[in-house]
Amino acid sequence: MFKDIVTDDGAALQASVAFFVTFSVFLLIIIRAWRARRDDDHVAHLPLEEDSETSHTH
Amino acid sequence: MNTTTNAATTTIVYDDKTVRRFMIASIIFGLVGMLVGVIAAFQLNFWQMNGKFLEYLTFGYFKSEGVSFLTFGRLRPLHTNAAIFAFVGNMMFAGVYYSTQRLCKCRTASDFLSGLHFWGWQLIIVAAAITLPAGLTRGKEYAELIWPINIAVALIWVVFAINFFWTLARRREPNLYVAIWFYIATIITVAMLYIVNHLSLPTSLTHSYPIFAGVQDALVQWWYGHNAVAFFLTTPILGIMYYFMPKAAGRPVYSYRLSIIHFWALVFIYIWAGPHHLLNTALPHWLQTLGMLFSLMLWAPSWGGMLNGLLTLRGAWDKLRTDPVIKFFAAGVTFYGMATFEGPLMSIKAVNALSHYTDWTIGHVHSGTLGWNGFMAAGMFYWLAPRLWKNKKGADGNSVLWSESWANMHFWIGTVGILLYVASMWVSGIMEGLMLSATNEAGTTLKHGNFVTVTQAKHLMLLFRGFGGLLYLAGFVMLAINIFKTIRMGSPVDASAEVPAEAPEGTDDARGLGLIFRNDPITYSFWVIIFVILWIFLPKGMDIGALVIACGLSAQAIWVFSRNPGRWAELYDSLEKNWVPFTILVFIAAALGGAVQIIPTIIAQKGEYMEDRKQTLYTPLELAGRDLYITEGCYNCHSQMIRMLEGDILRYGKSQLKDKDGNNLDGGYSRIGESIYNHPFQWGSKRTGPDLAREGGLRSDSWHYNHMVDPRSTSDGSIMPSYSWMIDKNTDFKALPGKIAALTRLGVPYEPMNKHEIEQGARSQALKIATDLVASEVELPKDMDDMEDEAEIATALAERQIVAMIAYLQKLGAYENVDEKESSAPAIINPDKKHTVTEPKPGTESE
Repeated sequence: MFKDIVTDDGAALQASVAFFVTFSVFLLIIIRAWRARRDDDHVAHLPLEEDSETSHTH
Repeated sequence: MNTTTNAATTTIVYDDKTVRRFMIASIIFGLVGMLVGVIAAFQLNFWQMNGKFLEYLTFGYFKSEGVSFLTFGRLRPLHTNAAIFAFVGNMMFAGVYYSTQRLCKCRTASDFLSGLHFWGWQLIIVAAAITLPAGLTRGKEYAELIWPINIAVALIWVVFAINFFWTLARRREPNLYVAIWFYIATIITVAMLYIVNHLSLPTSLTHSYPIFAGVQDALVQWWYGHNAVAFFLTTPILGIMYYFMPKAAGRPVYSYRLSIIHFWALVFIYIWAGPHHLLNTALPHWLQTLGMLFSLMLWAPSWGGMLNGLLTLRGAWDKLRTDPVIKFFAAGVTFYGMATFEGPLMSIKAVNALSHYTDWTIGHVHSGTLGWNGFMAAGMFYWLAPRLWKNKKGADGNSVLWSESWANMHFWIGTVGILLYVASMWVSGIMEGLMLSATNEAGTTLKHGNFVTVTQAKHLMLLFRGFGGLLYLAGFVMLAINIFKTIRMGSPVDASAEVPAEAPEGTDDARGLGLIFRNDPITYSFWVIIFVILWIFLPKGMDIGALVIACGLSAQAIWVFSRNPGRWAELYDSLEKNWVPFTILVFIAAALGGAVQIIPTIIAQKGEYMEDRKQTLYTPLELAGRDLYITEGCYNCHSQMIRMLEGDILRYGKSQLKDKDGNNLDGGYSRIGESIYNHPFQWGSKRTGPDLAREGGLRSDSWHYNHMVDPRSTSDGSIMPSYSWMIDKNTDFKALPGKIAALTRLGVPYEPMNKHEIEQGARSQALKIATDLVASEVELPKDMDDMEDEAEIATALAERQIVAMIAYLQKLGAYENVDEKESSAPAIINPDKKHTVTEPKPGTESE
């Protein structure tokens, strides 16, 4: 197989197939994540926690 | 997601002093870096900007054609290092220190380490600002700093890492938020990249040779260079985006799940893409193909992240009209999307044939740095300033920015500046690429044979670029004033927070480490990868078996996942609460690509294995000249790599050199062996001037002499700086034995020579060149006006740097043809060389 990849004229085709397979799988995962309901959990809200009112002035 | 909370709480005070320090340092060094960038931009329009302008400013009192420390070759590294490490570096540290404390609900672990990190980093920047204009450089882009500073950078980075991970270990929030993941990836990967690409053998306190040479060095450099963009300019800023955009919008990130995919895909894929900086060069084809494919794959995670950032504003778009912070963030993320669309596009080999070595690349880089980094920095600074220096000047007594209208004006000036910059670079780059490769219909001659014609054609576009940069700088000056005024009208405060007194249950629990070895996703991924590798390497027949098993395992993984998707999610939740296994997995994901590409190259691509051509070694004098070439930063404008493209071969491929038997060398495109002993490689990334790979023998010594002293005297319309000081400064002959010894230790096959032979050999060669120069009646240095005897003049001239530089330039392109071994003994096969593996079938004719 290694020889096929680096010496044959099929290298371009194999590379393209690999690319499209990976890209398609990735796209499916992205779409799945995107279509999932908006996350509303504790972790996603972490940045929104505010500092306390008290503060130390130098 | 349920989180165990502890009823007992405690009040902590955040270390915001460190955040303030880094923020101020970022603004100051940002101004310096951008100013140097604008000067360097105009140097490409007006050669006088390389020092001659001082003559005009002082009304002729200071006379010089050029000043060494002001030339483009030395200022450009100063600009890039200042922009990357000083401006974005300090900005990144400010964001990391601010957000990590809040996300971990604890103060940074050590104030001492924070202080050491801050002052150490600033000291490094000052050292860089002194050494780079002085010409002390390693000659590798974004890795120019000399070895003692490299060690300081590594040590300070370790200080930062200890402080960061120590803070994670002390956190009172079990979950690691996505921003923290990006920071972990930054710290781990930058350390790995920086250390490997800076491995050097010192020859003095200020000079060293990289341990890699030629193609190895090229691959390692762009593995580093590309991923400096990925893990220094992108991942930490994405972390900042994931923290500060929700903060500014008042809404959580659009999709936390998408951020998981965004993170892991980005960290894994990015590291493979480095070879796209070396497309169509002598780099082995399999590496070029990998680089191109992984660059194309980057489209998906990059755009996933961009959309996640932009959609966080869903429901808060109205703020875009009024809030300058949101404006900067939205535009910054949009520029990220544009740059990460353009990058993969330029990584397609056919597109890269046009774009590489041109201004298009410069425009692409600046849409990322000015648009993404600069605007994200501005948004963060405007958000932070009223919170770090509190005032009560708001309508309801809240702390506000000194002037929102100034911030808005900054936004528009900056945006116009970027668009002007990037658009002019597109036009200039595409025009340049087309002109340089244009031939007659038969493809036998170039349409624009004189390189300067192309330089002149770009003049107007480069002028627009300079003004675009100037506008962007003007906007940033407004930011500096705005922040300064905000600081003046408030007072510095360290915020405090009520946090759990103890780390909640589940934080870094004992079974955490086992997670990376005992879970379905990792186990399946591991075995699928193993069988895919076996599929590649096993002989015919067995490889099909390995492929079937890999497919079967993939199907089984999908089946296991679909049976109980929640279980995999729980596993990830556990991982998210354990920073040690998380960090180990990040390291593995980030290290894999580099290992697959670099290790075979280091093993197989050595001088002794070259089959076609092998570089002729530099004499000691030529080596001295090469070091001067690097000192002056010539690689910033001149490449030494003739690509396998018609335009390149026609323009640069002809060789005027002869081999040891007196036969003319074939020339043509650059072969891998022709630079195999170059520590460092000098393939370059931009052709502001012509390629020099086969410069040797093309022109006379006196032409080079006159060209270096006054480029316009030999090339009308040239924008090259004058290097007139090279006829006054002496070559350091004494350093040569140490340099030859270092290169020999690194594997360059020099014949044994003692110190005397090295010095004497260099001086003899220099005297011969100098004698010819004197006979050619070149304009001699002023201090030789009183000398009468030509031999005396030649002896004095032989000491000068210009002679060593000429010796080097005349050697460029020299190689030996390697005889094909006819022995039947087994030999290493170059996998990149296309062999005919099958005989033509009977009855068919080859084309």
